[in-house]
Amino acid sequence: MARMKFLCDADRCIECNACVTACKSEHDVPWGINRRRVVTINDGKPGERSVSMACMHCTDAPCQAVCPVDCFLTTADGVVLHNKDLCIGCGYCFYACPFGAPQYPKTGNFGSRGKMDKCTYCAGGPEADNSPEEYAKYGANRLAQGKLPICAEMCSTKALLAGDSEMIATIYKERVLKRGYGSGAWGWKVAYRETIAV
Amino acid sequence: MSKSITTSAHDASEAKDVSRRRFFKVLGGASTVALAAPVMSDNAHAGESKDEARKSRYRETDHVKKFYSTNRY
Amino acid sequence: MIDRNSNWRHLALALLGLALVVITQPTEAQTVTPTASAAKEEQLLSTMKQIDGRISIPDQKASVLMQPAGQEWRNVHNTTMFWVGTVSILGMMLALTLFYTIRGRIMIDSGPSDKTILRFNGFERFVHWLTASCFIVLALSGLNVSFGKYLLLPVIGAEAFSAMSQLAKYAHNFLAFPFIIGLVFMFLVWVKDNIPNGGDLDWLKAGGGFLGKGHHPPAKKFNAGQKVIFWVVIGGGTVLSLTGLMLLFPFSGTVIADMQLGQTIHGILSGLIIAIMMAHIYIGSVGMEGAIDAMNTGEVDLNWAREHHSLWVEEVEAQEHEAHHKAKSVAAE
Ligand code: HEM
Ligand code: SF4
Ligand code: SF4
Repeated sequence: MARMKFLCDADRCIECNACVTACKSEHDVPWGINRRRVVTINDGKPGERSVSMACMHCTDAPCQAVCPVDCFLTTADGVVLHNKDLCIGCGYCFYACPFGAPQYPKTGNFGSRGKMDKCTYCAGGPEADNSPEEYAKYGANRLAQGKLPICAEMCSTKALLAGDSEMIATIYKERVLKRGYGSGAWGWKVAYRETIAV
Repeated sequence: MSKSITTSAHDASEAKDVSRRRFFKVLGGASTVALAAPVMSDNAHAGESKDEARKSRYRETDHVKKFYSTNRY
Repeated sequence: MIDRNSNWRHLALALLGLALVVITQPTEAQTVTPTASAAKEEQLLSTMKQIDGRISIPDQKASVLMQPAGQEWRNVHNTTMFWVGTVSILGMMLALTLFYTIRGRIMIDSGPSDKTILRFNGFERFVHWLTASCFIVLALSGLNVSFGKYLLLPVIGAEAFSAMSQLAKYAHNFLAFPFIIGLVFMFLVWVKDNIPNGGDLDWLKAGGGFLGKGHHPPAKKFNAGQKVIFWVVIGGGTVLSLTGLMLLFPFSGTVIADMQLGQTIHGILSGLIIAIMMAHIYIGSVGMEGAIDAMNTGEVDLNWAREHHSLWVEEVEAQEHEAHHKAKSVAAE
């Protein structure tokens, strides 16, 4: 069974933020919420690298483990989705997530959070595939349309890889061997407890 | 309200009584609706069952294959 | 015309610059490997708890790329906190049940008298019940967050459980404020009677008179046990309030690590305090005859007061005596 993963080849990412923009527009993500972001490490220094990060769709997902209403579900292809009808906006998934993926619309009183929103791997949510309800709550369901996440598909430098884990790991290995270096599959060890040995 | 102004004090207090009762009735009704609403709306929408929601969505279509091949350059 | 002229000049300059770059480039490329000092995840994580960077979207807190500490928090939350809560609450239930079966209800040894004495005035009782009722709702709605998905969710179903948890969350978030107000008043009203003193040691040595019948060590308005409860409520309540506010106002001068720590303290401490308060509730109700009156009408049975708070009764009587004398002398004048 195919296992969906993201892999950001930081040696290719040029921090153009096109993935961030594409994601926002594809899913009509509200103001103040970013399902994907690009973080630049060692900015302006030697060894600077940019990494595009969203939900990594973890194995044994920490968010799922701590949710007090148990509203997460991991699909057979390894995508971590959640049910917004059940979420109470407690913020626990954000504390547990190693990648800062969960986002909260600022609604209601105090600093209190609305229903959590995060990257769905362009796979919608627990509503009928590609229904208006699904789009309104979770955004597009490209996976069910036979496509891949928009961020990876339109990445200009082909830094961001998405798709079947074995396939993208193979592509990454090929690249590293060919060019002779690679700063590693960022987040893989934390998210999947594995790294890509080249 | 305008009626109670023209009627006697007794009538006025009765009218007030009624309006208070109505107030509580509305309040009670509203809170029952508020309580029932999330439950009802959940039953109403055409969501996926738990198994449906967990199904695999990925397919290795030509579109996807093309993505893989362009990434190999 | 002028424009085009300057354009040409710019282009020429640019070409010159490019040529320079191209000339210097090859020598550089030979000495610099692109990854020589590339940021490596493993290295960064071995020296820091999280990887931070720069981000160009307005949400600056998103500049934390990775915080594997989230997984530690998950473990603490799902194991340590879970077990501390479970063991302390079930343990206390068991202990109280055992105590009740062995010792039974603590009765007024000399039987109820026909006289009462005012122990708590209206304001004291109001403050007590304000704090107590908020505490109970906070405790239940909090425990729902910790244990609801194991105990309630399978019984009532996901939709009903979520709707209920949403209400519980609002209750928890809003009642926090009257609870804090109650804490402040409680401190102001009772702190003077809760300063520990030498008598408390004797009281504790005598086991508080809980174990044997007919023996009651002397105590003032509050005995050592009640003082412990007071300081647990004040100290623990303050810490719960502060850590709770940290969760209620995320990223208000705090970063993710602070909130994780705050949550851990909040969760673990609340388990312990709930257990301690169960003992308090037990002894104030079924556990002891005559105790509930103190917070109900405020008037307690005189014999009860003599047995449990002998020094306090003496104090009150002395005061009354004095007041009586004064009134008499005023009347005589
Ligand atoms: C007084 C101020 C307090 C504030 C501002 C506060 C706030 C919070 C917040 C924001 C949460 C996160 C979950 C949610 O959003 O509902 C929480 C959880 C919790 N609170 Fe409080 N709380 C307070 C007092 C208390 C008290 C007095 C108790 C116990 C008697 C308590 C017990 C709990 C428990 C058990 C949890 C769940 C912990 C877990 O399972 O992770 N809280 N609190
Ligand atoms: S990256 Fe965060 S939100 Fe996504 S599955 Fe992992 S823990 Fe959950
Ligand atoms: S914010 Fe929502 S999804 Fe996240 S842990 Fe809380 S209830 Fe679950």
